[in-house]
Amino acid sequence: MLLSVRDLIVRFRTHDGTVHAVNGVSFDVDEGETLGLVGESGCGKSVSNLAIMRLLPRPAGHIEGGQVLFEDVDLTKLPEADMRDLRGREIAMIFQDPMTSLNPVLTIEEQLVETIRAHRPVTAAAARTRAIELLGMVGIAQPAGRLRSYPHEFSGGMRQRVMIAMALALQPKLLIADEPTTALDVTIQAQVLELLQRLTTEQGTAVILITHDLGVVAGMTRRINVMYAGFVVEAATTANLFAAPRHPYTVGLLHSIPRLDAAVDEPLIPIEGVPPDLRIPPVGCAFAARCAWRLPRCWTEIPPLDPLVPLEPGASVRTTGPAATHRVACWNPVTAEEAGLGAPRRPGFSAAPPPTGSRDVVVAADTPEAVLVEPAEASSP
Amino acid sequence: MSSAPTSVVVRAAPRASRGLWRDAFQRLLRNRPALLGLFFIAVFVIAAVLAPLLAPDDPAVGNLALSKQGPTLAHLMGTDLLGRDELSRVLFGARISLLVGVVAVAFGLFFGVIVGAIAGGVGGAVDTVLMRVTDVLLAIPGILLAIGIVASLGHGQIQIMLAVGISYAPIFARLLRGSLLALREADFVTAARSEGASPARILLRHLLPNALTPLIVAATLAMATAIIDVAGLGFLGLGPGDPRVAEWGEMLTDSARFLQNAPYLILFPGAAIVISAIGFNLVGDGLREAIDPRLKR
Amino acid sequence: MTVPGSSSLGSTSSGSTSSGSTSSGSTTPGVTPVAGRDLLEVSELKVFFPITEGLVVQHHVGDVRAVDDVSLSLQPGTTLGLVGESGCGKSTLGRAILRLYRPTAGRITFDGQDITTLGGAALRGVRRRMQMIFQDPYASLNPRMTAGGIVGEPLEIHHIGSRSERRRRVEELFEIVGLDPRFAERYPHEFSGGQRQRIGVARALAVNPALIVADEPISALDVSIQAQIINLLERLQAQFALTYLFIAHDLSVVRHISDRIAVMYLGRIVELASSQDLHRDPLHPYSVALLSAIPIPDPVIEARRRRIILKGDVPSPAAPPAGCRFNTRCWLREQLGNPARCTEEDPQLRVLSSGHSVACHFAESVSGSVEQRQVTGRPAQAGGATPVVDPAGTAPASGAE
Repeated sequence: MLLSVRDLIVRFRTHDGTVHAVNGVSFDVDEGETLGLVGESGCGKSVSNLAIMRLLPRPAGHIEGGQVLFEDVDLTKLPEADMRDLRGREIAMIFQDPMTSLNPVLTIEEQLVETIRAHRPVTAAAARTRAIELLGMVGIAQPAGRLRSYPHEFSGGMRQRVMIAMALALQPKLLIADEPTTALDVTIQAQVLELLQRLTTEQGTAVILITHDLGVVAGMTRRINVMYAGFVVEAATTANLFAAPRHPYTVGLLHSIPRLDAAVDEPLIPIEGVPPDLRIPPVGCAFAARCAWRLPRCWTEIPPLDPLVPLEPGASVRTTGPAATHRVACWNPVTAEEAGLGAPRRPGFSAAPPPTGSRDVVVAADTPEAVLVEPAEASSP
Repeated sequence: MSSAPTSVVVRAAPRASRGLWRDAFQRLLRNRPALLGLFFIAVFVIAAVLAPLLAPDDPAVGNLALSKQGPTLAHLMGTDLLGRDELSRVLFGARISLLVGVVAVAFGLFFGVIVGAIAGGVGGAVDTVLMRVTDVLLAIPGILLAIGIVASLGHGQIQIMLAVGISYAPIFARLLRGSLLALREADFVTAARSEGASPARILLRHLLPNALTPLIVAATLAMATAIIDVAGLGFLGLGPGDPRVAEWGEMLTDSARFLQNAPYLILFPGAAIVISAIGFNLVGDGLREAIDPRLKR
Repeated sequence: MTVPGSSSLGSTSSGSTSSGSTSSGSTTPGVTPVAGRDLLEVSELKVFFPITEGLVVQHHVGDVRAVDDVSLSLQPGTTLGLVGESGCGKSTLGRAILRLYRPTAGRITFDGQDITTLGGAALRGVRRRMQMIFQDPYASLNPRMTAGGIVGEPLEIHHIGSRSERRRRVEELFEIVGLDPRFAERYPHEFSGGQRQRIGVARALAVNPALIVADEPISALDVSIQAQIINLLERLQAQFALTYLFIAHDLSVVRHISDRIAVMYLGRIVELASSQDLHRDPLHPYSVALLSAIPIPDPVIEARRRRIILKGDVPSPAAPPAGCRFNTRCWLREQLGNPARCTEEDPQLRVLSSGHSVACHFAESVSGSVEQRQVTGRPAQAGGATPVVDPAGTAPASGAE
């Protein structure tokens, strides 16, 4: 096991209260494996990875519990100096906006050479040769000539290539790519994703790909964790997740995006409502308020991330690899037929109303949570 | 699609809306340094307003027999060269500082907003001309400008207010113009244009209310500078010029000679200047954060 | 509680008649009186932004040719999707149509009236009938106004109704877009992104416009919220016979909501077709590349697809390449052995089949190519057996050129 995140809890203390950003998240990554973390803004996918890197914004962000085992060493307990040495060399990271993650006043050469020499005892000349090699590897024409350029002289796609070159400079074991192509145009996204996939496969780098785009993870990853409001709500191999989504949120996401290969008039089924206010500690399932499948207990009990099918006696949960166990954190998982429809299909079933008196728990007191029921489905033909 | 999930309408009880300012004020109250600043300002304002009630003695009349006495129970801050009660003089000095500070900043705001709004609102050649003029004014150090104005207009409270106020006007004008220019590109202004709003409406409803926020912060911070500038002018002998009037800067000048044997005469007015200036500074910084919470996590 | 659909419809039309009396001459807002006439016609439109240099005196050293010779038309009640990557000029085109920019050349005709050079009060009058929805739900609402004030502002500007009538109309608009009218007194920062976008939609609807230019209305929203807004826009179009110019970078979203799609590249429309045609038979090499670049949320399909990876970046609109603007990145040109015609002759938008126009000298070579088959459906079978079986003719007839 390369990386094992165990019951990670991250909170932010702000002026407006404590934000429960990550609420006990566990996941594993094997060597050379690609894991997708999918979810919307505020679901905790970026925060959990900043926590892995110990780069949470200070002083607000805190790891309040759990372990991050990287090659069996708990990163949460590592001294800062050791952590600094590990960053970049063992675990590298690329971000959404390559303009802000490259230093604008330094040339590409200075930044690349500095990265290499910070971790490897090589001469400046050797580091420079390696830098040229890296730029060529990420597809930058005339790499020796471009070495002296400043970040602003590159286009967005080129800057992201440079970021990839820097991230892979030291052949890290794990690459965390946080929305690496969200800021890019779709044709440039295709270029960068192809590059990322080719290089990490060649070097055997494990990748955690963080994105909100289900299309991107479908082509890029082997396993996927779907996150919502600081919880992993569904974990499966990519093939299983798309073929048989079981969590109402996953099903909802798949039905709320228009697909290029769908019939033009296929209606979208939106997930109603808005994500919960993370300042309120979760009491039930975080998705309950927006869920069409919810049962009364969903309001009051947090569902554990358990195997979808009860395990055979003696068998254990597989958290990594192509045979990873399909797990879902739901008291009332979606059936295969319902997953295709995007709605519950059970005689007499209706979503459980919120328990009386507990409304304030579900609804943030000072956000206008109420959204009227969309009459679209009734009025449109 | 009748099979779409029927979501339960979860309602939060509607409550009276908090305006942006009330929200900002709430945040301000949670900011400890700003709270301390508010306390300092409160002390300063109460001293100024209630000086006639609080002062134990007449600040203008002294008893020469009691010249330069250290702090005693009868005279908590001691007495000055002419035997006047120092506490009373410090309290009355707050009146001048507050009055001059408020009026000077108001002067500066008045001229600055007019110039800035015209420059940022009209743009073009008008903008260029107005901004070159403010550039020239900005190039002259504020206190020098104020000295020049007092020197040419003569001594007096009004002159000081005008002098300090005019030296602030270009700062406010620049600030307002800058915000207006940035706001003109904002989507909500484009939205107003696409709705068919007239230029005047856009300026009054959309641009100015949003541009005033940084101005209010700047004005609060300017109060701190104004108090120091007024004291500075007084210290340089450009104060009200009436020896009966207690003014912190002049009090400092008068007592500087006695630094050796009566340091308290420097200490108390000096502390009054520092505390009131710090108060406005802390509140100004707090307001900046409270109004724009993005600056602080 | 649900929105009383019929009653809101009724009261809306009553509101529109009261407002109609103050308007210039149009009858029912949203519906063009003359059947079949285009609501909007743009011909040979150019919008250039001058590049200047110099400390004191500004020299004109060139132009950013944001929109360079674009013609299109839009029929009432339909949606035209405008798709392209950043810098292709799609937003500029949308804003120029609303006359938020001054066109450099060309003509914009809105509901039979030439609005290209309109100004002052006349322009403000026209703006009552064309509104805009913005991308950023945070930047597009004045933080110092209440939600109700924002939605009611267009009514106030055009002096529609009395104060209490406007108040009722704002409440009604809140219900139409699915917001609780009791939140009208709140400020924008108290709403979530999706709710703010609903406020923006309500504001656009306030004066019963005929045309709404929606500039990337969902791309700043979370995935789970996007479908809410798409469905809302679709419902409103059906309810109020609205005409949309829907601008987006995401072809799958554009395809979902549009009747016809114009693909833009470097200030030009390179292909204009019905949604079905563009997907079934894309004829411009750029459209094919764009379609192939969009990931599909299905690992089985993704494993089979082969992307066309375009080389390099989009050239600067200040110095577009000579000849065809796409020639520097064109995969087809490479395949054809780099014909000189692509760099010498600027391809004009030409009609290939009914309603399907394309600006490529070699568009015929795209049709039936491996690349085209790769993106249009299952590579094994030819186009006809794709699940995209739409009754032919649902797309509106052309009227573009």
